[in-house]
Amino acid sequence: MKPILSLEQGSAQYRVAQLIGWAAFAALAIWLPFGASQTDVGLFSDAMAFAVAVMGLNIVTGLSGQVSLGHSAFMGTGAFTTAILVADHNWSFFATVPVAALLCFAVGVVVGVPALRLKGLYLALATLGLSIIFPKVVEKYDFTGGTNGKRLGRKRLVPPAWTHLDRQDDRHIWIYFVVLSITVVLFVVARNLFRSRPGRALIALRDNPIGAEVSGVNLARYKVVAFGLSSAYAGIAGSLLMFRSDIASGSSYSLNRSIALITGLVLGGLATIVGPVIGGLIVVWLPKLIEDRIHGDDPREKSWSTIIYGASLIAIMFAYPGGMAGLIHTIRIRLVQIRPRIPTRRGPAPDDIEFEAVTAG
Amino acid sequence: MTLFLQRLFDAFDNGAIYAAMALALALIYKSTGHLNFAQGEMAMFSAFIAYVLSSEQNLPTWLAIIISMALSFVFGAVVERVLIRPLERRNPLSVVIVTLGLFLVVGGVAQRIWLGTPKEFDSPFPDSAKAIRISDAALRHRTIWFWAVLLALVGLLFLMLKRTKIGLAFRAVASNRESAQLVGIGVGRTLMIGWGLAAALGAFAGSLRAASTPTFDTNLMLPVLVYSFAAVTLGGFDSLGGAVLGGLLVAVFETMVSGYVEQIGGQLAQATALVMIILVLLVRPSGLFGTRKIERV
Repeated sequence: MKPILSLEQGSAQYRVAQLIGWAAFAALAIWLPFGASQTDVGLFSDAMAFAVAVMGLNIVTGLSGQVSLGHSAFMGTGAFTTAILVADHNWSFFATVPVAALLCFAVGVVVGVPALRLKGLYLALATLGLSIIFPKVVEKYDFTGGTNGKRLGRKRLVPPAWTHLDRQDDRHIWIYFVVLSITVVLFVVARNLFRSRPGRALIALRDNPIGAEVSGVNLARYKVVAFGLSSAYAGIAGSLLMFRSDIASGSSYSLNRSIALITGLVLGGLATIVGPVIGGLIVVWLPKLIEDRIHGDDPREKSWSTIIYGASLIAIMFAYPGGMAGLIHTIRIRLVQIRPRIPTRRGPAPDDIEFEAVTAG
Repeated sequence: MTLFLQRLFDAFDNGAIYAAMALALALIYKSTGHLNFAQGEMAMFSAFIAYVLSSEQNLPTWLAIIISMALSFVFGAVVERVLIRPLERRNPLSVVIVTLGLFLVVGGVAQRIWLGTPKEFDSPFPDSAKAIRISDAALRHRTIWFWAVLLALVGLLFLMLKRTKIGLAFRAVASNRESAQLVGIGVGRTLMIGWGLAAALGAFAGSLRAASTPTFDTNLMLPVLVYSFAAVTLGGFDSLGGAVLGGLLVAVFETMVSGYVEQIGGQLAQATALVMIILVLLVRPSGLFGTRKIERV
């Protein structure tokens, strides 16, 4: 099949096409809170928060090839940090986000140092323990709200007056745009990280650790920092969830949530930028869509969403390990061909170079 | 002193279960280098199969457990053949992800069928509730039975590994897969047997766990999974004997710490497993008996 469009990289048409793509995406994102129902807008805000967490996981799994089963615990740490600081210490919601990020970075480094010095699945082991004990820890202590979870009380994220969104019916729109802006910034940072010197060092580590070390990459340091950063992303995600929710409870940050994040990342597409966006949407909307189709009150029916999650995780590894992002890429290549830029010729063209025939004897 | 002895005996109870699970994990790790994160959920499912056989089909409990172990063997082998082998040539990450998918599917299916009222599972051993008193500390018959049967199974496993053709093949595959293949060993078949044995051991662990708690539900093996991972880490991933000893030591550590440190208590007992994993990784990454080929990469 011949591509419909053929563009030269860096040409004017290429730029325009790129711009149209981004503009369409931005228009959709801006239209959404006004076009969709209040509940759906809330779910899209959650999906963006989860996209941030999945992006965090992408930094450690996609970029450095290690599995973290503890990202639910980091999200939970972020959520509880925000809940406690806002409810008990009268902080503003925004000020809690960097605190959550720093705290999770620190926890990530502490757990990461012993596990990441070694090759293999040790990070998965250590973080598995983390995600299993996290709900127990927050349910034990009073300052985290005990078994009831930490409630925000009357504290809510109130839109400033200039937005004219401070009526109760419009609050969700403000939250949506706040979460959207933070998500966009974090994704740009992550994209730049992927292409930066540390990012390339991490990819080198993933694909050929010995080669990377010989080339002067400080393995342990890069891996630990990457994991810390990844945990910080998850912490921010948890914090962002609290912008909308009024309760943080330990049970929503269990091992299953960690596996849900991994499912989102793998279905979305490992080591890509678009993957985590799709991943966030999957984590929030897939269980919702499944539960909408369940009739009756039998709690056993809810397990269908777990089953479908697991089955799709297995299926995608067999059928399409690149995930949805890979699929989109394949379709895009079919439709639009992007030619690498041809350098302008200077000096003799390759045809003019004469090769001396080398003959034996 | 009585309290200490009592706690030690209690630890032996859990220790048998952790040891069996750790052995299952180590068996797979030794032959393939993978960790099966679904091992716990598979064991939970097997325990429910044993429960159904004994309570709904009215089979004697011990027979139900043996049948469940046999079924689990087949399931484990099928999992290896269908889900794991096709992905092995890709990166290790894909295998981890598939075992996580399996974790969800097996757990979800069990919830779909058995969620709701907690189930009771009788102990397969006679006079389980009775106890021997040693300076006022009660050593339950159950505990002694657990270890007797576990050690018998471990003995059988070692006999199989050292004395049979299949065992020789298994050790050859574990030591060098390519060379094993070159001398004509059916590597695929051997790995299927390894996964099958692991699943059967898991079924045993799951049934013991179900029998040692008053009631059980689909969360049966989730706590055990962490302890057994700590146990294989402590024992050294590729050491089968180490896994058994690791299981016992982890249980002793858990019982003593949660017993004597008030802040930890029963609720945070699982934190001991995490602490154990991190300590071992810091101090002796190859575990007590593991081969020291761990790469610092």
